[in-house]
This record gives sequence, structure tokens and C-alpha cells, in this order.
Amino acid sequence: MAKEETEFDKSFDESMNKDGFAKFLVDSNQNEIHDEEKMKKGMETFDSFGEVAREIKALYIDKLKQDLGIELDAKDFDAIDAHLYKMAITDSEKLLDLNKKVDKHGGLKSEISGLETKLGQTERENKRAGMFGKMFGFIKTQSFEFNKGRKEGKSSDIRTELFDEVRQIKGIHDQVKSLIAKEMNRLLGKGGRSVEELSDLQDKLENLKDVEEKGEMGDDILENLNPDEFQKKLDEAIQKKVNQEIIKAVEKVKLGEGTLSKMEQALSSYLEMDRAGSKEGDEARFIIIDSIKDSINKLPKDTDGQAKRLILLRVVQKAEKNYQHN
Amino acid sequence: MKEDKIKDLEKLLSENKIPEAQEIIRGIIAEKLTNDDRGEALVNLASVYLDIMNSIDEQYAEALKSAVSDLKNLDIKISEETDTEKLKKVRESLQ
Repeated sequence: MAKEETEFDKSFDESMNKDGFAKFLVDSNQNEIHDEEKMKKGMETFDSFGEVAREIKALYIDKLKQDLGIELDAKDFDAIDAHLYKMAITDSEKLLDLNKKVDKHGGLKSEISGLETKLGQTERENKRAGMFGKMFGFIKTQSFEFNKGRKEGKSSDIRTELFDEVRQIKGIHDQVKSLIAKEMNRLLGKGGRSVEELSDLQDKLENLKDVEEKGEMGDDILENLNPDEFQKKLDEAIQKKVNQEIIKAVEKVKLGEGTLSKMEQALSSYLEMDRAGSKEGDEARFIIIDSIKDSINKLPKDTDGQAKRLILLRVVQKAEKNYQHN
Repeated sequence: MKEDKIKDLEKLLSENKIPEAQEIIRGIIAEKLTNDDRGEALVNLASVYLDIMNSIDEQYAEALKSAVSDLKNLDIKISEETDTEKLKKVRESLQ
């Protein structure tokens, strides 16, 4: 696939691969993944949520325990995470302000450390603890292939295969025509076929057309088959199968760390297809995109389903962009 | 933690009324809270703590900068005096 990724594309994909980001977009009702500005804001807020949660818990584990005697348990840390997540969803500005305080705290620590090194002082903690102790000294509580497409070299194998079959019935032209029609329809009608197998059938049909056109076996060997009608049925079968396989592939991908990459990997064989039955190029790609969109519509309406929807919309968005460059 | 308690706490701290602020914090921590409220209280307490620590660290950093500056000035002065002393000795040896 052609790539013309912007900085935004890269960072957005990174975010979409983070565990919980797509869910966060759903929870905060930020579903317009085409709106770059809104997505940037969502990314900033989500990252801030992670940083603030990490830093505040570290504060309790280190400084607040030491300065205030507050010891928290896992339930308390979960409560902190839950409140900060709620804040990220309902009041992102407040969370961003809190993140500034956290950043400032980290910046001052580094600055002080550098200055102390200059002065060669070693009693930093004592001095600062002394200043804080004056104010709060005593408190102690609990406080993330298909597009084998038309296999190269396959057509000659198919031709040999078909000729072998045809040659076995020498002299009786009508039987040849009947055999072809029967066999092709049998293959098409066989249940449970994959897109790959149906594409092989497309190769067989084209080889037969080629043979007919060259008159190698007479100019009407496909008379009984009615190739146009057969093609129509084959196209429908391929489209239906593509659709079914994509829906299954989407179902198999679970939300978590690296979901976007996993989804792209699961759909890569379809996204790389430049042919679906008689449809080629954009027509074939449209079928793939359409099938992915169809799978989106079949997702559950709960948060997980909607989070997966955003992941798939991003896959479609990237695929459409890549197709434009091809 | 209710907003009014946070405001009270911030106000007391800004006025350096430490014992009163401590009483409020004691009360907050001792309260039986739901998970939601406890999460909010703990985040707010950490926020106030960050405000205080940032304020103290700013003052401390300024004091350190000043000390570093004083130390440099002192080094320069010592160096100047040492140079003056050396010059004096050179002059004396030439006389």
C-alpha cells in the first residue's frame, strides 16, 4: 500500500493502538475520527489521564505516605483511576490543568536536582521535608492471505487440469460442453467455500474463456455454461463470502493493546485485494470497503462494540487514503 | 470531598492557617465515602498537595538559584582578591 502518513496519522495510529483509547473516545462521545482537531484533543486528554493517574499514585506511594502517613490500598488506587477517567470524559480541561501541576512538579524536581548538584548539597530531602513538615507534620491516617489473489503460475496448472479432464472425453464435443458446465456449477454450488477457492474458480472461468476464444476446443465450449450468467453468480458468491469472512475476522480481534494493528493485520489480505471475481481495481476495493462498513454496522451497540467501530473506521479511513494514492 | 471543603482548605493554606487546614484534612480522610467520592477526595487532596509542593519547590529553587549566584560572586571575589594578593607579592619581589 502507498503510504503518505502525516505526523498526525502516525500519532493517531499509535493512540488507536493503545489499550482503552477507542473506548475513551466512545465514552467521551468523540466519535468523529475524521475531525483531526477533535482527535488531537482526545489524544492529549487520554495521554494526560494516563500520566496524571500514574503520577498521583506515585505521589501517594512515595511522598504522601512519607509526609502525611497516608497509606492507600488497591481499592483506593482503583478509585483514583476511576475518578480521573470520569474527569477526562466530563471535564477534560480540569484534567489538563491537573496535568500541568504534575508536569510542573516534575520540572521543579529536575531543576532543584540540577541546582543542588551545583551547590554540592546532599541534604535536600531533609530541608524540603522540614519545610513541608512545618505545615503537615503530624497527620497519620489510612488514608494492544488472502491476496494471494490470483496465484501466479496457477492458470497453467488450471488449464492442464481442465484439459486433462476434457481430453479424457475425446470425440464427443457436446459432452465436453456439458462436463464443463456441470463441473463449474458444481464447484460454484459447493457450500462452505472460501474467497480464495472462489477466486480460483474465477481463474478457471477465464482460462475456459481463453480456450474458447482461441478455438482450441471449438468456439462454443461454454455454451452450456452461459458464462455471463455464471459470472454474475460467481461475483455474487465472492462478494457474499468476502463479506462473511470480513465479519468473522473482525469478530476475532479483541480490544486491548495494539488493536488497530491487529485489526489491520486481520484484514490485510482483503485490503490488499485488487480483484474480486470480475471486479478489478477500484470496483474490487469498493467491495472490500463496503464489506468492512457492513461489518461495522453489525457490531454491538455497547461500548466495546462502538470502540471497535472507531478502530474499523480508522482502518477504512487509511485504506481509502491509500487507494487514492494507488 | 465537596467543593466547599476544597475551597476552605485552599483558603486556609493560602492564609497559612495550618492547624485549621490539618483539621479539615483529618475530617476528609476519616469520612466514610463511596468509591466515587473517595476517588474524588484522594485526587483533590493530591491536587492540593501538588499546589503546596510546587509552591515550596519554587521558593526552594529560587533560594538555590540565589545561593548558586552568591557562590559564583564569592568565587569571583576570592579570585580577584587572590589575583590582587599575587600582584602585590610580585610588586614586592620587584622592589
